[in-house]
Amino acid sequence: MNLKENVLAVLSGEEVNVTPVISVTQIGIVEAMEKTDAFWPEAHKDAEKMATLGSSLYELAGLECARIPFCLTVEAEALGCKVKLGSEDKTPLVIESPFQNANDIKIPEDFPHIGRIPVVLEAIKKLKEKYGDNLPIIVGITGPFTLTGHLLGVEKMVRYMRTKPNEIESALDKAFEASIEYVNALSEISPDIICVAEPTAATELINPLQFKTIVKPRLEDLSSEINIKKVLHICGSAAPILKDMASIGYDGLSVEEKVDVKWAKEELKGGGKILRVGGRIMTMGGEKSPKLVGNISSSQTLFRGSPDEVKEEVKDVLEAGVDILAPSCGLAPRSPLENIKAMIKGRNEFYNM
Amino acid sequence: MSNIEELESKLDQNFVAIRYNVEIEGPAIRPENDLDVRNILPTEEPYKSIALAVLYGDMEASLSNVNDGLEAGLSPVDIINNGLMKGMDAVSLLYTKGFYFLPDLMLSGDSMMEGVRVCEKILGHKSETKGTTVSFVAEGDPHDIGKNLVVMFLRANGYDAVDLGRDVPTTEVIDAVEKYKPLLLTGTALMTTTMTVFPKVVEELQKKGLEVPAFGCGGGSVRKDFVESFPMSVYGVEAYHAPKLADSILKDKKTWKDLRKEYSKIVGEFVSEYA
Repeated sequence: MNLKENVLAVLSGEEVNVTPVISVTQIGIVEAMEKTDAFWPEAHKDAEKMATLGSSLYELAGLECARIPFCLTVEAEALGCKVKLGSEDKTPLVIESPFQNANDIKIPEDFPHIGRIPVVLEAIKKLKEKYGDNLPIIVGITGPFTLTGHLLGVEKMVRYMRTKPNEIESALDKAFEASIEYVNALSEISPDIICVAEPTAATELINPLQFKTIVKPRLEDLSSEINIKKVLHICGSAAPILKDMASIGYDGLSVEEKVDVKWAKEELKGGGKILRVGGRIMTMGGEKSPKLVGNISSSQTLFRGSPDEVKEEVKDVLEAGVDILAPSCGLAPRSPLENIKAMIKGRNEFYNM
Repeated sequence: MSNIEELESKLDQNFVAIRYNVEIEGPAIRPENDLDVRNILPTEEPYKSIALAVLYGDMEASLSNVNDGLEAGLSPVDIINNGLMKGMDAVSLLYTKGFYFLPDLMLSGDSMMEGVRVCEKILGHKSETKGTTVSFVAEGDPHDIGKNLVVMFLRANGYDAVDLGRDVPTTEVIDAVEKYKPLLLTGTALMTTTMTVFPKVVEELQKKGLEVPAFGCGGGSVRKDFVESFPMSVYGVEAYHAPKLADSILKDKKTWKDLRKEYSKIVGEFVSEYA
């Protein structure tokens, strides 16, 4: 079984001998940029460099995937937001949006051909050419709710959710439309895994009930449009919304270290779809539960820890039963390459490889 | 009857949803009925209504309550301290308890600040000026909700809070410290990629021979042990802790070392990060 088959098998619910170690979140680090000569910000807009940096941790550290792009601003930029691409250790940011309210938001007709979307599409092709069927290619996209936050401003959006819910619903519809178009364009080239990142839906920002009633329906619709393997990533303390995340229909759930793996595995037992009746929780049967992806601390261990600390955490997380080993969130650009290597070494040692 | 019994034994009871047998929940509890909230909220009118409007994040009601109070001849300072602030204290408490979330905090904050603004207009000046603070969001980070909350809480508590904005270059922070000599400097960051700015700020301050009583750092991925790995800093857990930290610096001459040691005591509640 090669690396790609291994990870896809896990996401399909099959038993595998070795837990894959990948990243569904941002993987550009400065040390790898120096070694591959593919630096930010160029790698955000040059397909060749994006492909090189996207596979750099496979080449240099043995991470079992290629992952692009390195930010969550691609869609917002194509829709007309002003983006500051940053520098070699600063991630791109949306700094200005032309939209004041939902009515202003227009999806350009040739949306999937604007801005850096073609760069991402081109980079996937290059990665496929180079690695063929051996290495899984993961593409990160912005979730509709987070995209709406980019378009309207997060603070405004969070306020509107209570004061002008209709405004948010229609803005979300437009963002969703854009997401669908992007997903369709991606599907034509078919990377192996799409990771939908919804950092703005974290419980630090919104109420779990708002997640359930406002964010979840769109994620459900989006999920049904993605016809390849899909992972949902939500930052922060995702514990209160884990059950809801699990019943959306994604093959994998990626969570931060704030969610305890052992607890989460227990929660996810017995399928995603559940019914609460008479104080009892019943599974609806049929549905398989999504696989847990995570959650080696990217802000603590991978960024500031020693290789030994990384190995220790890898062992803990594997023992707790994580299905796919990965950083908890996007890698900090100044994370040492040694620590990424330690993540893979730690997994290998766990399996006596 | 026997027919049904027969059928029942064949059914997998796990998949039967029984009508009316809905999940048992307690009666809906209104926020003002929470015991601890009841202890905070004023009992006499019109302060009670003023506080309740804040508790519900209802800006219109808050404004009209405040205006009614002013027309009735209440002192603006009393309205702020006995009405608006009490409502906000209750909101902070419900947030800590996990009943309220960030959107509630923001909307209640808006309602309170609008009321405060009206009162201060009547006063012709700030209700009190305890001292100056400076707040910024780390360079490269556009996420300023946390900083806005910190600034709001500081202003509401009578501090002259200088807001440097988001994505602020370190040199600007240093210049502001030099200019305002704040009794509290706060820096926030959501991203792992940007929180590395904090130790650099301290380094630059030290290079210039500048010092602040405390540099509160907090936000998204910022963690206590990271913040405590460099001097002058204090890990701030919640935005509404900021004025309490500032108070203790102002009144009890606490330093960043004291704040690290006595955090829970100073903010007056159990803080798991400091347990």
